[in-house]
Order: sequence, then C-alpha cells, then structure tokens
Amino acid sequence: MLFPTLTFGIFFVLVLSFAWALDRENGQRKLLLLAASYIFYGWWDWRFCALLAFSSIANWAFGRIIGAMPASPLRALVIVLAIAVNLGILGFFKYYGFFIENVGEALAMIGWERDLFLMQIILPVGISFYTFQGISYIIDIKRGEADHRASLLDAMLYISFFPQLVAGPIVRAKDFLPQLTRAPTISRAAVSLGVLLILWGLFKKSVIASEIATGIVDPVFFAPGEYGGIDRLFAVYGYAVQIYCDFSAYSDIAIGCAALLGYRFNRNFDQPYRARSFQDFWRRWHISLSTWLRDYLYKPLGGSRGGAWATNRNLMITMLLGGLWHGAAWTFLVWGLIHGLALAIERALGLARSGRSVISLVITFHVVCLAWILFRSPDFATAWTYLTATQTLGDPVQVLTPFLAGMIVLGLGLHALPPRGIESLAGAMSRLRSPAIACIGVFAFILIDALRPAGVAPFIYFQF
Amino acid sequence: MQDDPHRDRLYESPDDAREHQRSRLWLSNGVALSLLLVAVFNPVSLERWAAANPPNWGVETVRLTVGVWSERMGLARLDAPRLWLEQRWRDLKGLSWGDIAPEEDEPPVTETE
Repeated sequence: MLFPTLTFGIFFVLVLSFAWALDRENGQRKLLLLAASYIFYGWWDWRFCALLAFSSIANWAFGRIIGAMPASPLRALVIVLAIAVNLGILGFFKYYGFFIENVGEALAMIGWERDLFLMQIILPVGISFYTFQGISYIIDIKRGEADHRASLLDAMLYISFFPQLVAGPIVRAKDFLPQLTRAPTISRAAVSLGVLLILWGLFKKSVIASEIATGIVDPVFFAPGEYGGIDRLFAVYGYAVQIYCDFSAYSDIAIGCAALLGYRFNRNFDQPYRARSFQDFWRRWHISLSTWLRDYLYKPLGGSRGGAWATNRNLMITMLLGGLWHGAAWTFLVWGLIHGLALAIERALGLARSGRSVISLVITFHVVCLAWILFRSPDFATAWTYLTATQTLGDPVQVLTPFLAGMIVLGLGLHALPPRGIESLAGAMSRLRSPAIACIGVFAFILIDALRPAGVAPFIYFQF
Repeated sequence: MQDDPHRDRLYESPDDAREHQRSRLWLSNGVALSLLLVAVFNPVSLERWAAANPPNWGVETVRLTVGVWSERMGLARLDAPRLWLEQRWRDLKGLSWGDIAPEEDEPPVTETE
C-alpha cells in the first residue's frame, strides 16, 4: 500500500476515525493500530507478516531478559545474541545473495570454483528500518533509556507502527514507547501540522519527484552514453532533487500521519542541500539514520576520543556500513566511502569548523551529486560511462525541457524557503475554523491530483 | 529526543479533556467536509482508482456510480477548475526551448521607389 494512493487514503481515514473513537481505551486503540499496521504491511506480501511478528516478539523477549538481568558477562552475551539475531535476519534477506555471489567470484579468481548454494530471496520491504528499530529497542533497554517492562503489545506496535514501518523515519524506543503509556490527546496545531506535512509530502513525491524521474533521470541513467553533457549534468541535479523530494516526502507523510493519530516522530530532513559541509549535510539528511549510526555505531566504536587515526577509522567504518545499509552492492559501499573520505578530509583540514561561505555550499552540493551518480547507477560500468562519456556540453539537448529544468530549479529552490515555514503555517492554520481548513486542504489536494502524472512509482527507499 | 522547540510547541497535548474533545471535533468536521468537497469537485480521482483496480462487484459498482456522478458534476461545470489546471500543466510540459527563445529580429524591409 503506497502513501500517495487512494487505497491508502481510504485506509487512513478509516484508521483515523476508529483510533479517535477509541481515545478513552488506550489498550484497544493500540490493538487497532497494531492490526492496521499488519494489514498495511500484509497488503504488500502477507507472508512477511510472520517475519515482522517474529522480529517484534524476539526483541521484546530479549528486552525483558536483558532488563531483568544485572550487569554481567552473561547479560553482555544476551545483548550480543539479540543484536546478532537482528543482524542475522537482515543479513540473510538482504545480503545473502550478494555475499554468495562475491565469494563465488573470489573463489573463481583463485581457480577454486565451487557450486555455492544460491537462493532467490525476496527482500521484505522495510526490513532495514524495522531491524534497526529492533536494535534500538535492545540497546536503549541496555542503557536504561527505555523501559524493559514494556508490554508485548507496545513492543510490537513500536516495531510495526505503519506510518514509519517501510521507509522510516527510524524511531527510537526511548522516544516512542513513553508515548504509548497513555491515550494521546490532540491539539489543533498538531492536526494542522499533520495535514500540511501530508499535503507537502504528496506534492514533493507525486509532482516534483515523479516528473523528474520519468522525464529525465530514468532515461539518462539507463543509457548515459547516449546523451549529451547538458542532459547528463541536469539528470544528476535532477536525481539529487528526486531522491530528496521522494524520501523526504515519505518522511513528511509518515510524520504527518503519526501526528494526526496523536504521536510524535522526529524531523528526518532539514533542507539538506543548504549544507555547507559534509558534517552539516549529515545533520540535515536522513537524520534518523545518521543519528542512529552516530549513537549505536560511531560512539560505541570510540567516536572521536582516540586521536586522529582512531577517529577517522571509526568514521570510515560508520560511513561504509551506512552505505552498505542502503543496499547489497559495491556501488553503495563506495558511496559510503566517498562520504567517509569527505568527512575525514573536512575534519583533517578543519573545514567543518571554519567560516562557511556559499562556495563551500556549492562544493558540498557537487560532491554530494558526484556520489549520487554511484548511488543511482546499477553498477560501476554505468557510473563510469556516466562520468566519462565522450559527449560534451556542446551536444544537442535531447530530454531536458524547460518544464523539467523548471522542476529541478523548483526542487532546489525549496531549500531557500524559511527553514521552519511549515510549522509557522501550521500555527496560523490552527486558528482557522474547520470549514476553512477543509477548503484549503481540498484545494491543495485537487491541485496536486491534477498536476501529478498517472500512476505512482514506489518510493526509492522501499528497496532499502 | 531531538530538541526542536518550534515543532515541539505544536505537539503540546492539551491536558484539559474539553480542549482535546474540541480539537477532535474540529478534526472530525474537517475530515467529513473534506470528503464531501473531494466528492463534489474531484470525483474523477475515485473513478480513476476504480478503473485501475481489477474489476469485481465492488470496484465495478464504485466505477459506475462515480462515473455517473462525475458526469453530472461535469455538466454543472464543477470540474472546470481541475480541467483548466490540467490543460495549463500540459501546455507547460509541452514547451520546448524554441518556444521560449527570444525571436530573432527580422531586418526591416525598406521600400525603394
């Protein structure tokens, strides 16, 4: 079930109505939301509901055991086991094929070819997100930041809550579980924020990202050698805009849906292309992942405490694994490597701390775009062709139209809007009467519906 | 949880039950009215959804019912804003670089006697 579809619209209106009808019965309300979450997930493939349930129940059981045990080597062993179970699930479904394929190639290179057990494994949608939430549950309990006595219902709802289930934001146990302890109440400001975020997300995904994807990015990245320099240059800018509008749209809709149901998720994007350094970029891009990696990987590795070499080593490990988290391919690993190197160079030269000019913004944006070429390309050969194709900027433009150029400029121009514009608007809207809100909302919805192309492409981050 | 004073303020839950009930009613009224307005001004959306789904009794009933409704709304010209928007958007998409390039001035024709 995709967010920008009528099927989801009907589903959400029903869930919203029943959820607020049960606002005095927190237990029943949570049960309803859990059932809705499994219907939402099962809509894609019912078979993987069992995997989701297993992951939730296993994490809840491990959390109970860890929370009840005193600090001891045995407790540490249980924690390691719990994390290994989570990573084992992720590793099997996401990286098994990649691993076997590469082992096979490596063995062939040393002349020791073997028939390895290759399986066609379907990647369950959202597995990277809910596995990371499971790990967050375990570590937050270990650190005493989340309550290990959370009920099974709460733990299951935390892992599978449908707004964030398949593409984030990655919600922390310590942030979400306390919100489940009592039935939420709602304010007009939160409703306004929710409605605005949903509409804003629909516009970014259905209009900007869809038009750019079908108009320029998909054809140029499919056969980069056949297009001239201008088309290729704008296709990279286009992809930068597309991935931002696509992914931030999902996050906005997820945060908006949660707000309408009375729950709070953290902001996941903060105008990332305004960043004037890579450190700044990762404070603005996929914030829930970058902070997750910082708190559960980079800092436990030692963070920046052990001198320059150790810091850079920790940085590279974090960014390489962050890259690999996005997909089982070498291109993602190298994408992580580029970001890790950029962060290390910035740190070594003290650039992240020094005065940041518009020039640093332009440089940061273009290095990010360079890395996006690898991220978007299916393999190194395509990326290499993209970068080295012989055509020059003087070649005729084939796919870039004034409309698409306008969409790309619009997508980048969103970064020039006031950083907290949505919140200010939500505050103002909450003072209006409900008919006025309905008219504004419906007008915006019809506008988006009329402008968007037919059909909806899945969100990019579904594949992760 | 990240500090975000601007957004956090919007999430502040009313402790007063009456305030919560008023907000809930405000939300319910807004949703109900929105559904009504969408049905009046945008039935084509539901029609397209039904057309895109595999036909069965329910989907066909929706498609036929909404089809008639959509036609009646069209006769009343209530779909005009949407059609106008769609046309302007198509025009924009169809623009080429030649359409927006400034036309070259033609040399003035001088008549000689």
